[in-house]
Amino acid sequence: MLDLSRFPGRVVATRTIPARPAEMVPLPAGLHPALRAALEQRGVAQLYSHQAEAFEAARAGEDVVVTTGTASGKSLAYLLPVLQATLEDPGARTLLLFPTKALTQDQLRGVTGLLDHLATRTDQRAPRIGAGVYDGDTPPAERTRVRDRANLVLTNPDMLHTALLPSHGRRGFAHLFRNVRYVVIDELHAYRGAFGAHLANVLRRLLRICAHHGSTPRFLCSSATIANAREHAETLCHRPFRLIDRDGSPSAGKVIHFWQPPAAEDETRRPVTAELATLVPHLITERHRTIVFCRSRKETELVLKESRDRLRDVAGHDEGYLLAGYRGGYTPEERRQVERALVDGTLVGVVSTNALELGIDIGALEVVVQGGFPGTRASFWQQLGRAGRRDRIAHGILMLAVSPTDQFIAEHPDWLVGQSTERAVVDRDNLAIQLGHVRAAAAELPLTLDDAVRFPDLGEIVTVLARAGEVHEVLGAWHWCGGLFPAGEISLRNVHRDRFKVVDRRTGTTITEMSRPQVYREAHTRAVYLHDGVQYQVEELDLVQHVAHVTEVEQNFYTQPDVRGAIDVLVVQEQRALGQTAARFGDVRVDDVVVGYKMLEFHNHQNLGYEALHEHLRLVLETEAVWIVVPEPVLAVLGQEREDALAGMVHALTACARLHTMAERSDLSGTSFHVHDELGGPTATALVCHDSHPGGLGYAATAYEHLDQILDAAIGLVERCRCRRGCPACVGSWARDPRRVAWSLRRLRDDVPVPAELTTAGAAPVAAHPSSAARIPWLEISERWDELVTRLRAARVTGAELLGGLRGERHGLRLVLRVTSAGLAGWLASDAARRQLWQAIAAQVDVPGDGGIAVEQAGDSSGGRERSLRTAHKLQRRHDDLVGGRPETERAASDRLAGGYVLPADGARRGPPR
Amino acid sequence: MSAPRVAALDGLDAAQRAAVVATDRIALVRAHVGSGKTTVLVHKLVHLHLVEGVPLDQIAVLTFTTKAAAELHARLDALVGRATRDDERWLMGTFHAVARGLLARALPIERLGYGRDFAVLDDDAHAALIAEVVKARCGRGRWRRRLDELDPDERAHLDAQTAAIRRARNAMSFDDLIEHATTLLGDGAGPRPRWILIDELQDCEPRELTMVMSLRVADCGWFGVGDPLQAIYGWRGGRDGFARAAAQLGGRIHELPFSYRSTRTVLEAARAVLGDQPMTCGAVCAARGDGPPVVVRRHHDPLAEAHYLAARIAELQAAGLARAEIAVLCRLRAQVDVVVELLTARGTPCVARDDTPADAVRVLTLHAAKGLEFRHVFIAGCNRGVLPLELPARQTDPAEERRLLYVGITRARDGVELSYPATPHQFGAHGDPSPLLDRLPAHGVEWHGRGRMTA
Repeated sequence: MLDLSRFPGRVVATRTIPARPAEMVPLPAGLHPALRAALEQRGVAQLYSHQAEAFEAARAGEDVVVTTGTASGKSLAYLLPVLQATLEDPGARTLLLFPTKALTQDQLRGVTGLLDHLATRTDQRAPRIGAGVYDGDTPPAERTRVRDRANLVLTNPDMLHTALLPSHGRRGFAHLFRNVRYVVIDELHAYRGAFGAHLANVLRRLLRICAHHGSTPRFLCSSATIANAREHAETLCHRPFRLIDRDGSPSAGKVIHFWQPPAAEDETRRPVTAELATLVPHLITERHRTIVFCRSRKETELVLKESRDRLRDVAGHDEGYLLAGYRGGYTPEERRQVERALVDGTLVGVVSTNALELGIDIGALEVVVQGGFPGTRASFWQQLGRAGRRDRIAHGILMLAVSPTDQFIAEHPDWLVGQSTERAVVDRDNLAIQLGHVRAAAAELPLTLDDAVRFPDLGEIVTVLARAGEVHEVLGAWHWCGGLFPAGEISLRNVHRDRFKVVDRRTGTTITEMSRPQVYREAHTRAVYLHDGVQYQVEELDLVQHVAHVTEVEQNFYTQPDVRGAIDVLVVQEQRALGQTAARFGDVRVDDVVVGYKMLEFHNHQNLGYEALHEHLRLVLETEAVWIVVPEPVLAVLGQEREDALAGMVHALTACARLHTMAERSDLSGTSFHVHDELGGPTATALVCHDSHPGGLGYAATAYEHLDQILDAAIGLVERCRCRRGCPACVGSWARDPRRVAWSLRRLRDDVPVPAELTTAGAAPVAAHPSSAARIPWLEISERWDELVTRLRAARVTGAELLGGLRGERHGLRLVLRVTSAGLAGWLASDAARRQLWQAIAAQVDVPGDGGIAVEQAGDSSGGRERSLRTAHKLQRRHDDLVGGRPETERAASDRLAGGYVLPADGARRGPPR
Repeated sequence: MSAPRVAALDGLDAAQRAAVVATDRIALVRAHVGSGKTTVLVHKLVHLHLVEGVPLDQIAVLTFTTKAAAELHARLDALVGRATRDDERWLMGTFHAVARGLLARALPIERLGYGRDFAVLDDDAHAALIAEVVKARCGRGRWRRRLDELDPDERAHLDAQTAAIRRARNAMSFDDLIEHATTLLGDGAGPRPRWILIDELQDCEPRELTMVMSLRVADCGWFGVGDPLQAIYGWRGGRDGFARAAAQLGGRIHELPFSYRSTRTVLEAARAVLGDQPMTCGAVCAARGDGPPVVVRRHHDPLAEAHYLAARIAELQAAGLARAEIAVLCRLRAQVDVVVELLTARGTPCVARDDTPADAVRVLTLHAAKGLEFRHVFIAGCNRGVLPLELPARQTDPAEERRLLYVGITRARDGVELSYPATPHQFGAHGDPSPLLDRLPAHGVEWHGRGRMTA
């Protein structure tokens, strides 16, 4: 029995999930005798209902997605129809896609076990079935064997994308594609956002190549529970699906304990890691088989080390060996050892990142501890599914962190357990992603009209590629004539390709490899890097050789990097009015700079000191962003509560932007930043959503297009939320006043008065701009145009005469000047000319910091033409990002397409955010 | 004057006619590509028979391929106006067929320990015999590698051993046919024909030439036809058979300068590829005018290349060409297999051999295309590394590789398209075009796609 009485006051709520009995059915009548014999030999005399259901549906030719719980035998659900088909036709091939290499290896072991039983059965007439892994780690000879002979080819989408598909015409591959009967996609829910959009396009290419070789594979998918599994499968695989979600496997009853760390002295709570370091040793000494999920590699190591320290002397002997770590960065051998030890009981517990959340077989455990809410309900349930032996109550302990979401859950446990899981979102027609895959497809096989059915924007894309000289038309088909390996130019995951090695200076061995962002945070000079509980200190980070040299140390502290963020606007591509303010879209540079590190003592986490880094480590992301200027009156009203309210606005807007653009959290980020105008205008504050992928994938661009709806949705989200004090769903935190956020958002759209409760909340009144007293208010510039011209003439300012001949009109933040002369328009197209005019006006008018001059030449704009022009323009930009810089002249031309000339915000700069 | 006598000279141009009626006992004809070489050979045969009264069974005619032998037979029958009998033509055919006929009917092969009803082992059967011997000596597993490791002494021993087995089994390899016939003829045995006519003299191997020389006695007439510019079997020992025969026998050399097959554009492209090979004869005269330009095309990979071929072949068919009038030529056998597979997958009927009468596109190696002609010729896979062929183990003759492309281009009557994939799948091929393509003239050649190197 789990006894938590040693930790009084921690568990603030419990919820009970009832046990579910098994629903068994006999082995299907049509099952191949050899397969039946193999199953019976393994002790499988019956199937769970969902396994049988999947078998029959697949046999009937349906594409199937199975979404039953963790450890419900999903693998068997897809393996049965695959093996049956292979026994009936020994030439049949099946591609099995797994999101990680570790999972691929784990699944190979499962498959091989079953195949061994098939091979040793008495009936020798049935054909031998081969299986093998084909991924980046497979040696060449084994690759040839798998390619030529394995019926079941276990691989990952990245390998399909860069190795299998581009080689389909080479010797030995055609045979594989000609005979693909099934495509199995495991862990389908992992393919969301950009990753999902990539997979959907890889599958478009796969289906196209299969059609070329004369095969039409069916899909068999498995997924964790998500709200829209069938729709998700259909989006990714381009076929109608049968959903099987009635789980026939038994499930033990579960108790979920919501664990609130005690309050510390400084009104915060004890960190989750510290709480885990006391709870985990207890669970181990009590011999509760336990898995602990931490939210980062670093926390994993910290909890592992501190827990082992405490297990060092338990009743006179060291029990630290009963606990192991598990995370990316461990070698496959290290990980495999842990997996085995968990299954055979040598280990009592494991501390892991979400790497063990996927379906790797580690047997059933008794307690699942989650060190913080994992971010989504789907993940929460997936991790919880690791616990539960058939006949014993299992326990889940959700340890709540100090984050707003966690603290909201502490007060509203049913928000977590009482509602359905999240939807997986994918925009498979994302232009940037589609573009990349059409390029790859063109190199795989010339593009024909038929391909327009698969790639909806093929027409526009081909135009762009033709202009760039990457495809040319030959007898009605578009042949690739660009670089030799376009598939290699896109990565399905937003990963940094430059890898660093962490090398033990004494032994010369490589402890692990990591990406550049990880190195900057975890392996900067003097950082303490923990690996499997061992401390290493980084002596030198060699950025040229990509090596961090470390030595083993025994110290009482670990390090935490001090990361500063910043955003620079590089180019404003488009700008328009949005309600009471202005919205912009353009290229930005997001900097993450590691400037120093804190040293924190193990166990009590006290700050032992701060060291600045000699050389700042700067990570630069150049990408696309959309941002909304927060009007000065709003900021004035927000007063002291400004930062919280801005964060709430960002949260609501970003959440709605993700919804509208089908972006994942990892695709689109939100923040607020301060801009100050080069011309000395007042500082402006903006809310920004930016793509998280270098160059952008068009999420921010789509958000810019739908900004009115997104703002409406954000207002609705906050105003209609049932919470009173703020929650993770609306403003992202329990500490943010939703009324303040709701009004601020609404004020962006409509000129609504300030509610009484906000004005009395102690906000400082707007300080009048000292020099603006004599100026003409911006809102009156149209009405007082003549007065302005008179003042300008009096000041003998260049441009006064020109302005005197025109009539300026205020449109949001823009002063629109309508000219009829093309020559004049051309002249005003120059940044210098407009800046000069704007400076002159700014001396007389209280111009908005983000304002500018727009020049319009009398002309028309028919909607359809403009839209297609816009798509073409966007594609051109995507293409330029993909293949490198474009000439300056073209950039200028594309800016003109945006409609009107805007004062460049190129010079705009931000201060440090917050 | 009889009717056949007129037919024997019908439709010949002045140069062809001069070669046919020449009275020299020893004559060589240096025939340009498409100049009617085979026509001259057949007409000479008919002229000897009908005009000079030489019985057919006393004329030996040696051809390079069975196909050429069959064509000779057909044209002979047509010209003499009757079906000639096999026994009349017993000295007509490929070198191997003639040697076999001599051994089976006229030579005392019992001297060599053979019986007259000997069997002939084709290349596969002979390879199987060698495998049998080697396996017996060094076990099953390693025999193939063992075979490659043999030193010259061991090799000679192996050859002697297999020869003994063949003799014991009363079977001859192809090489045996030539060797035994030469030996017995050299001993003075066998028939003595009055005339010997040889086709494709330039590719005649030294051993074959020796056999023919052994067949010849002092007053025997000698008429050899060939084109040194089409010598493409040097790697088999056939280097310069024309020059060797000329050196050995002397005699008068006739020229056939008029080229009837290809357009001037095609001929000029082909000649440019040959470049400054020693021109022992005058410039070729194109009897036809300019045609469409020769096209060089870069493709992304062999699939795109096949995609294009299929579409272009369909277009040519729509323009009235029969499939059998179209050929796709490749340097290597492996390339032929790939093209056949890809074209078949795209629904274009094609065959990898020429002697199939099907309505299908011919896909052939450049070597196999010798002696054939088509209205439209594609030469696919013209990559560096493949043309000229670069082999790790063996040095290829650059001049012969040029002649090979020359032969390929001159198979076309009207259109020639050369192509190369930028990402070739063929082992040893590089992604850039064959350096031989750089020799193509600026005029009359169109380059599509990138890759043209400009000086």
